[in-house]
Amino acid sequence: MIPAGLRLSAVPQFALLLLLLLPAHSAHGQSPPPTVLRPRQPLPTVRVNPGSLSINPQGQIDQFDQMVGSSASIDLDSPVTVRAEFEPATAALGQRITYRLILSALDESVEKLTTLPAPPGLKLSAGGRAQSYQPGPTGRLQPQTTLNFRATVTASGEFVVPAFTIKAYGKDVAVPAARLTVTSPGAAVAAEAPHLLFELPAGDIYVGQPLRVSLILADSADGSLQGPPQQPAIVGESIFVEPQALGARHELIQRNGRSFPAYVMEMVFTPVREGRQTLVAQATSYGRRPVPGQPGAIQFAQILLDSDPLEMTVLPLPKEGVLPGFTGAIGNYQVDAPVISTNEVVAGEVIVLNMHVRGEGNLGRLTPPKLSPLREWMTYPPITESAPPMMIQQRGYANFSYTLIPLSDRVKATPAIPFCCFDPKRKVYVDLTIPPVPITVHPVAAGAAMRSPGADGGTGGNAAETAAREHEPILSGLVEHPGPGAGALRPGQESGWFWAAQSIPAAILAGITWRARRRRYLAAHPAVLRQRRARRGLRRQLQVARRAAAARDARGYVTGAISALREACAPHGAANPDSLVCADILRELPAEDRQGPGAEMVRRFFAAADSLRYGGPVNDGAELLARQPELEQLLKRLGARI
Amino acid sequence: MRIAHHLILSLLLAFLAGQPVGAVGSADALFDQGMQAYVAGGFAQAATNFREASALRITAGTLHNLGNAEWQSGHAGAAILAWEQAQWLDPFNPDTRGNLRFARKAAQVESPELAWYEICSAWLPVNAWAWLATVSFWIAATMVILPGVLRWRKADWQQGLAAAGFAVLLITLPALVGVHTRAQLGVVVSAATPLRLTPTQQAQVLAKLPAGESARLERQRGNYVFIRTATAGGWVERGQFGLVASSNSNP
Repeated sequence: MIPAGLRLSAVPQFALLLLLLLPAHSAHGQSPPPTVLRPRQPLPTVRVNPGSLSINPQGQIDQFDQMVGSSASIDLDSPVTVRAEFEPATAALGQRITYRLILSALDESVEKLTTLPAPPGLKLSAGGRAQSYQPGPTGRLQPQTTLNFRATVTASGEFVVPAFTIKAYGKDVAVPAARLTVTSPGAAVAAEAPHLLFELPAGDIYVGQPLRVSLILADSADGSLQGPPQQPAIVGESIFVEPQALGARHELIQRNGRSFPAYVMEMVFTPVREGRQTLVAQATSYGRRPVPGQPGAIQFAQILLDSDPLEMTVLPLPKEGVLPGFTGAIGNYQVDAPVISTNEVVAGEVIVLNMHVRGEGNLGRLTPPKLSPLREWMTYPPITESAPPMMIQQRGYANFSYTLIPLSDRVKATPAIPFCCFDPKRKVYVDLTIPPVPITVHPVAAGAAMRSPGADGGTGGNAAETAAREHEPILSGLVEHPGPGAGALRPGQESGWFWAAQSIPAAILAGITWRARRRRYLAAHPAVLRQRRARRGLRRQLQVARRAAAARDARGYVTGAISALREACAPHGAANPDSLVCADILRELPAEDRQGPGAEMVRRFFAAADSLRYGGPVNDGAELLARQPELEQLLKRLGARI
Repeated sequence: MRIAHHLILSLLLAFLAGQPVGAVGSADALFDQGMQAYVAGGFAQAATNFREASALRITAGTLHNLGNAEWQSGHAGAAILAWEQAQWLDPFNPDTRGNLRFARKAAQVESPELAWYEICSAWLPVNAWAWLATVSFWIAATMVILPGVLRWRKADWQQGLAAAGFAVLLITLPALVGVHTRAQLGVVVSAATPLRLTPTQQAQVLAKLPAGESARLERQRGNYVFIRTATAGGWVERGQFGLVASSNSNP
């Protein structure tokens, strides 16, 4: 191929030179080396349409380019001529007027005009712009670029757009002056020039919203236009226009209270930027035109028709309420229940999930939602149909398919695929999530290796790619159990209960220390332990005696009283309480009780106890019961001495 | 009798966990409802269920699932925050760790930059360090105090145990500091969160933070918190920033 800097266009001589050089290489019977051409001066870059000659490295002319190059001869050598005119040249005030420039040059070579030298009272705004090929005076096709401007006048009179220059192919080309006569409203003037009618759909318009509009061209009854319009287009700053019209028809149109036959073409375009912008619809048609320089002569020529400019305000999509899986779908869509290729597979086998979307919107360019990587699934990007977008659009529904491979027999259903669209009429995001489909996944048979999705080359890739994919982070599934609870997310060390809990081991340690010291103290002072034991025994036996006295149980009363006396006197003798006899008790009595009624009472209690021991009755049981207060006084005195 | 024993045991466990028995039961029910809603594709409902379950009883599993549901609902910031909280409680879960990597890669946000002691503190669950320090300290203290108190003959194992206790305590100290500083880490939960120069609504906007951006909380004032990301510092609204160690699981 020819290097990019040498796109042959207005350099046919250069191409001819190449063609002449090629046989010389072939004559030597060797494959010629690649031709490298380095022009010393930059060549003018003018594109020849269609096609450009190219030569492959073997020095042969590309057959396709040869065929295309021989189909038409484009005249790019003749000097560029410019014609400027008003249509109509004489108009009534308020009538639609078009200022038109026609250049014999390629559209791409003509500079964009930002301002025109319009006289005061005349305002010119940009309209349609198109290129066509017309037979030139040399018999070759000549490019013809037409620039339409909408002329607006505020008063009647003569208006002259003076001569000025415009750049074509990088050179200045003179534009002649054009004259417009505007008469008062109602004066007899030429009929209004044919033009396109075009309206935007009602309601708010959002970025990315596909808009279906009708371009209407009134079918002139006087034969000023011949046949339906061609090459319909909508021109704007930031819009994407579907390259083909959805269809053209001829029908009776009702408009402004009158009906007329018209050609109607349906087109779809999409605004790609928010904000205000101006749109103009345009198309070409053949119509009667005066022959320049021959007054009264009429010829049929291709003319550029356009519409009045339309202001369009494009709103951004609302950020609130965006649902998961939004891929830019704007319109009113419905998703049918997904269909899967099979609902019973072995882990590692492929499941194809087909998704069917229908509704109003740009179905042909709908982007299916991607599925996030999942731990238990091998997923692939969704596959869209290969049919042209316009065909899908006319058909009214779009199909997508997902290739899914379950990697575990724990899988019970296909994953839900988040998807949503923005409904411009309701101005809300609509949830279209593809629901899960129940499936049964069987485990891989014992001894059989699960087929790796990448191993068969289906997704391509060598070992390095496979390893990279395995290390690619993916979204895991859900945890099936919540797990152990935590009191709070705050660190424990910053909570009061943590420091309060430290008092527990501190208290345990302190307790152990105290207990050890106490034990040592008691070991050094055994009397303390005996006294404590005696007090405890005295209280216990006294309770027994009281309960027996209350029950008038003389036997229990005597036994309890004797035990209480023994417990109270035992510490002093460092003896076992059960080993004490009456004499031991009498010896331990306070001095005032040893000879008095206290000693006598003790003897009587022991006598009764002896009688009981040998199986006899309790002597003087009633009297002993009656002396309970005296006994308690004695025990109290004994207890105070412990 | 057995029922009574079970009842007492449940009450005791619930008391020890600091949660009412009814709360545990309803948290489990909400967890199950969230699972079902998620499987059915109702991610927003699932997120609500998991959030409510987490409010009743905070568990690493509930927070992990909450992150999944938030991610599927398109809330990258809330998802990253929930996964961070799940990892805060259970750093051993590889799924949570993988989800965080996945989300940060998809949202094109960086992981927070951690000091060495903060990295160490992330090796164990957040409260494990405190308990480890507690146990090691008291073991060491016991081994130092008890032999003298109980008049035990000094033995090598006692001194070894005391030394080991103090050694573990020393090791846990940097991790405890790391836990303390990591408690100030948080995540920007709202997309395009304005980072303001001053804590006022009319303040100059220094930058717009993406959802999921990690930052450290430095101070608070009214309805604003001063945070510092890897590249800038400024004030954001309190509701647009969620602390990993917040008092509740909701941002």
